[in-house]
Amino acid sequence: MLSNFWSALAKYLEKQPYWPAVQPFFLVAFAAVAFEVAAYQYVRARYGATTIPLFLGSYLSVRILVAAAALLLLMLLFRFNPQRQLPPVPGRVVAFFRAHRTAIVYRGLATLLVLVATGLVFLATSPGRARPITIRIMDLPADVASDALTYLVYELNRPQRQWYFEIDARPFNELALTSVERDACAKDEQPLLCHTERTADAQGPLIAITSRPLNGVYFATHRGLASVITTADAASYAPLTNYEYLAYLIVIQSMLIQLDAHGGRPADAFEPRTMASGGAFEFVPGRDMLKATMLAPRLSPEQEALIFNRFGPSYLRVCSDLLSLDWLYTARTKQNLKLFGVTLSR
Amino acid sequence: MTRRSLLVAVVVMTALVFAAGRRSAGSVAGGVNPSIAYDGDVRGPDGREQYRFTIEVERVMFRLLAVQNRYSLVRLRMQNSTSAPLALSADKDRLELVVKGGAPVPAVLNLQRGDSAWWDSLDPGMRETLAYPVTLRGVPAPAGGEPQRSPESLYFYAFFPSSAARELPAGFAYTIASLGRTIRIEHRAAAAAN
Repeated sequence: MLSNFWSALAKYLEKQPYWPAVQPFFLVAFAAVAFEVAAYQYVRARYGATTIPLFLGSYLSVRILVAAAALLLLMLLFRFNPQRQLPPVPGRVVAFFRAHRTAIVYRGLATLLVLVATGLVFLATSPGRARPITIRIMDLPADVASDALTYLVYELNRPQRQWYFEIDARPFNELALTSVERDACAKDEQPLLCHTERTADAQGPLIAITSRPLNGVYFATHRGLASVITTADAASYAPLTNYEYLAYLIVIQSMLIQLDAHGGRPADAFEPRTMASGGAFEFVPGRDMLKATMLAPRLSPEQEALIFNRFGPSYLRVCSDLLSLDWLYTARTKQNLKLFGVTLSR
Repeated sequence: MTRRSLLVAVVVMTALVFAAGRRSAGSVAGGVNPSIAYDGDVRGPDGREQYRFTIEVERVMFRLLAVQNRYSLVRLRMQNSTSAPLALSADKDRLELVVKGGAPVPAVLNLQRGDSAWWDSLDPGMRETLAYPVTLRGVPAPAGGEPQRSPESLYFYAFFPSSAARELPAGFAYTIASLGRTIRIEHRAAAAAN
C-alpha cells in the first residue's frame, strides 16, 4: 500500500513543471530520512531499547539532519550564479578562471562556510569519552571483605569496553596530602570529601569508601571528580547488604563524576526536596527511602537523553544495566560471591 | 677394637650434631654483606609470631647519605600474621634509633607536620610512598580447610635527623600505640648473643 502511494506520488510529481528543479532536494531529504531510520535501527539493535524521542533528540539524529541541511544549502547556493556566463575558451585554464572568477570565488567561499559550520556542529555534539575511575578504600565495615568488594568492582567492569573502575590497593592515607591541603580540608564542612578531592586532583577521578559517618550526609557526597560513600547508615537499607548498597552507589557516583567531568551534571541532581519519584539522581528525602530507590532504580527520559548525548549509546546501555543491579543477582555472581563467604539479601 | 671404634664414632657424631645445632654461619669466601639486619617480633600467648619488624641498614650509605642533608633514611618492613588489621598512627606511634651510649633519636613519622615545607614540595606519588601508613592489613583466617596464608606485609620509610643519627644504630625501639607496647628491633647477632 505504501509502495502504491509512493508510485502515485512520484508520477504526480514527475508531471509537475517544477519537478526537475526540486528533484535533487527531494532526493537529499529522502536520503536523510532513510539515514535516520537506519541509524535508529542500528542503535536499537546494537545497544538495546532506545525510544524514538530519545534517538531524535540525540547527537546522531542532529548530525544527520545538519549534514543533510548543509548539502541542501550548498545545492541551493550553487544554483545561484552571480556572474553572467561567458563562453569558456577550451583548453585555457587561466582564461576559464578569469571568465568565471566571481562564480568560483563565491562557490568556494560558500562551500567553505557551510563545511566549517557543519564541522562546528559536529564538534559541539561529539560525545565525550568516559574516564577510568579509581576506587580507594578508607576503611571498610566489619561485614565487607576487600577481596569480595574487589570482585564486585571487576564484575562492574565486565560489560564495559571503553572505561573501567580501578581499585587502588593502598589504604587511603590523609598524611599523603600537603600541609596546605590538610589545613584547607580541616576547615571544609566535609573533610573526607575534601581529602578525596585533593587526591583526585593528583590521580584523577576517585571514589572513596569509608565506614565513618559523613558530616550531615547519610550515604554519599560528591564534588567535581571526587565522591565519598559511607556505610555508616547501613541500618537504613537493611536487609540489603553493604555489597548491594556499595555496588549501587559506586555506579551512581561514577555517573555523576563522568557527567561533572564533561560539564553535564543535571542541574537538579540531588537538589534537596521533600518529594521523590525514585530517580537515580534524586535527593532521598528520607533515609529509609534509599532502599526503595535501590530496588527500583531508573533513569528519567531527560537523564537518558543527557547521558546518551554526553557519552553515546554504549555508555547509556552499560549504565542502565549496571544501575539495575540485575547483574548482581545472576546465579553466576551469587555463586562466585559465596567463594568469598558473601550471601546477598535476595 | 670394634667397641673402641664404635665409641669414637659415637663421640664424633655427637660433636657434629652439637656443632650443627649451633647454626654458626661463616662463609669460606665471598663478599662481606654491607648491610646490618635488625629484627623484632611480637608473639602471642601461645608463642606464635603475630608481628615481625625488619630493618636493614647499609653501613656505608647510612653514614654518607642524607635526604636534603637533614635525614637519614631507614626502611622498615612490617608483617602481620594475625587476622586483625594493625592500626598505625603517625601521631601516637614512636620509632627511636638506639645508639650505644647516647640518647635515642626519634624518627619524624609525620613529615606533613614535622617538615611541611619539604613535604609540600614532593610530588603526590612520592608523598603517597613516604607517608606513614595508617594500617597494616591482617590475614583472613582460613576457612573450611583452606591453606594458611602468608603474613601481610608493608614497607615504610623512617626519617631520622641525620645530625643526631651519625653512628650506626645499635637497635631500634618501636612503640605502636594500638598494641600498647614497645618492640625492640635489634641486630640479629646481638639478639642471638643475648
